[in-house]
Amino acid sequence: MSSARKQGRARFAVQEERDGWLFAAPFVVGALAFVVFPLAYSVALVFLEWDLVRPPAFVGLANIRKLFQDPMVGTSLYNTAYYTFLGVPLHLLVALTLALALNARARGVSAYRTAFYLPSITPSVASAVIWLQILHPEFGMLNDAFEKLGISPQRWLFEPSLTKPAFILMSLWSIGPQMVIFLAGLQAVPEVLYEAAHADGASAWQRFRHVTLPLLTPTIFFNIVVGIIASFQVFTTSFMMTGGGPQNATLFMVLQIYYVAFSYSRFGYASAIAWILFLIVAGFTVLQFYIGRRWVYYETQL
Amino acid sequence: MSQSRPHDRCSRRAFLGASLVASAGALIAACAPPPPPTATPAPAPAPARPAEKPTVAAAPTQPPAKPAEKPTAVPAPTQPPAKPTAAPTAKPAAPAAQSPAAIQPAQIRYVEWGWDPDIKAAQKIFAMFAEKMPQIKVKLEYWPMAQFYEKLKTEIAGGTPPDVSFSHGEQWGFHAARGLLVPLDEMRKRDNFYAPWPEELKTLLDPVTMLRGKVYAVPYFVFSLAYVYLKEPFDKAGIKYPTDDWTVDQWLDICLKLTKPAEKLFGYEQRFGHWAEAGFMRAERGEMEWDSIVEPRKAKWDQPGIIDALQLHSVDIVHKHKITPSPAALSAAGYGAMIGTGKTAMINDGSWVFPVLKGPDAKTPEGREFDVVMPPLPRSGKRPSVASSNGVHPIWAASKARDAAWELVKFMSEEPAQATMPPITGRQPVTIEHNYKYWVPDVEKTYGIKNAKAFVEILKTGATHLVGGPIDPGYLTREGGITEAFDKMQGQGQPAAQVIPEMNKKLQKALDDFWATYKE
Repeated sequence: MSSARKQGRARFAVQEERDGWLFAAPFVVGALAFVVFPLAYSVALVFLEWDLVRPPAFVGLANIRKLFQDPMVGTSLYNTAYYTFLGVPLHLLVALTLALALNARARGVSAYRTAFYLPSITPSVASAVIWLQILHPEFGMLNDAFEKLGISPQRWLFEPSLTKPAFILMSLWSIGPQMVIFLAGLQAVPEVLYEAAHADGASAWQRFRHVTLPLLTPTIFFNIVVGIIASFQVFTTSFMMTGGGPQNATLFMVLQIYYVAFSYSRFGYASAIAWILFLIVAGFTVLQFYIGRRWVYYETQL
Repeated sequence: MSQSRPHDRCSRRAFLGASLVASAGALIAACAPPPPPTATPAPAPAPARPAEKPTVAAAPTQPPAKPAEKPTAVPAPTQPPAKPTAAPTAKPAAPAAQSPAAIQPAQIRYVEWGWDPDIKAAQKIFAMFAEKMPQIKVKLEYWPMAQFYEKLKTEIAGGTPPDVSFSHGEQWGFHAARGLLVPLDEMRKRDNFYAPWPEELKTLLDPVTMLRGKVYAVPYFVFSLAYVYLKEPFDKAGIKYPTDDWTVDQWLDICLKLTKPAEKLFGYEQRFGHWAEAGFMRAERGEMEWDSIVEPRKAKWDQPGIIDALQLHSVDIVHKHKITPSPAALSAAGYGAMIGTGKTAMINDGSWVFPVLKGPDAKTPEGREFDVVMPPLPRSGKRPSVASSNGVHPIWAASKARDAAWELVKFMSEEPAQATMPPITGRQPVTIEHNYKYWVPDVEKTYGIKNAKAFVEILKTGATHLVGGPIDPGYLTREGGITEAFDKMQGQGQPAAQVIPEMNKKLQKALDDFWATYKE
């Protein structure tokens, strides 16, 4: 190979690299400016006191110490955990049941699929307004239905012991995405496996238990991971509907972060709570991946 | 066959690369701060005017400033007012006010609370202002109500606060304590501008416009709470309309008579919460729930009179007498839905409830006949009144056109702006005189009521619930457990004597925590 040709190739490689960086630049600059820098800044804020007005002041571990003494953080953590660990399994169960029903080859099934998915694209603020009416203690549809069944009306959003269950019930309204993911998973199960099981005399339950469920475990795993992350970030409904009440029963962690930051102007302390939330979510996600190895079945791993 | 690319042609890649670089350059250029408007003057001293000409006061309601005995220079916006140069024995001359013509051209940004009527009123007032001072261009922005203060804080953090903003009376203290607002005392003195602080409303307006002896905001409107009653339920039950001398016992008796549980009709509708109930709490035995409503350091809610008042107005009226819908039902129904549809007969509220009852925005097309009456007198004989200014105008220290901003806030608190605002917003102007001159005739004509003066008279004795100063009242209501305590009393009927002492401890701790870590 002549040296001129070598030089040409080297020049081309340099040009390739330069152009590559140039074309990646919008993303790289965007990610650095709007993801990496804010993340790093929020880590720094954990050790600072900043009210947006005065320059940030170094306070060492004071914000972290306060975390462990602040009862509101404990309350918000409990509320978030309650909402997550009751809500996510219920979501999975309902979404899977709906997906199984809508996986049937029935007439008009597409219309049903659309109908169940539709609430997911309703803006969360609009959903909140609708649910305020449904859960109205005196004129709400839910209490009307209860009265017809002979059950006394409930003060859904105004009784501390009922508010979180009401929020979980409400969250089922936007179950569409999980249902669609389950539906996709169900449709990916090879028909031949069902036929083989049927030929072996397996009942419908046995086919579900030993064919459908194992092949659906990656989908279930995905929905659990995504569901837990989303549940830990619940905000809009409580911000819109209850403001964290009654008696702090719906004070979730993100709402508490919002209040501490934007109402009390304690951005350092809010960052500390935010990072605790991040560590909890990350911890649960890692744990799920660890446990997932034992129960998630990937067809390709055979 | 080999194809060589002519060197004089731009390759697709080179073209895209060049486009990218150009776009990035354009983007960066667009992000650069805009040059200051050439019309905006720097806060430099204003040129001295010939002293021979007497100055004309900008405020139409104020008498013209007296000409100084000796030539006086017009003070610079950031400079202290010029000292009178008269002989020591002579009475000091009144400071000279700037005439409209003396204000240099400027562009200012005004941020309005995003409530439609307020926006409409601001637009109309700004049009009038443009006629009076065409050299000052006002850019009106309005932000959604729910994110108003968050957006303001973000702008402050970004170093670009507006020149003037709307503010609730209790929301600017945090910024003033940190030097972000312009103290207005010198400008007030310079222009002899005291009309929006009438002596009879001193108790009401000082806490919401002053901090640590300095004035930081100009009142734009005020509010008071009175009892608004529908005539129909009274007529049907054969009960005489209440008069201003009625007592709490008479009020309770009327409410019990008007309440019809089977028909889900209630005699009364309580605006629940500390802001509305502070009047009852203080009227019972004259006790105050704070050592000071501005910069409180002591929570004093656990006093017998306060507990008794809360027991009646937060617990008993819901759970024992059942004369009002529960807070849950009221909250879920939405503001004005109960009284607007005749499900409740009476409400303790501000004049903003009028449009809900009658007119194009009423809850029912036919509207409802109503009138107003002063709050009933408790056994103490002291009127349980809440009043405040929930609309004030601070000027931000970052403003490069403070004089122009000052002219605008002055204009908004004077005639004719004070006459223009009430018919559009239903809000009460700042002075008693303007209330009787503009607001009372307007609401009496618009709504057919006869006793609108009740709202005006309450201004004289009313007091605001909590201003806080640098403390965000939201911090005390949430972290101090006020909301939680009210939930327990109103929602669950827990006795005030049990809930309040516990809350008071929590509140005191929140106050102590705040002041322990507070820095300016």
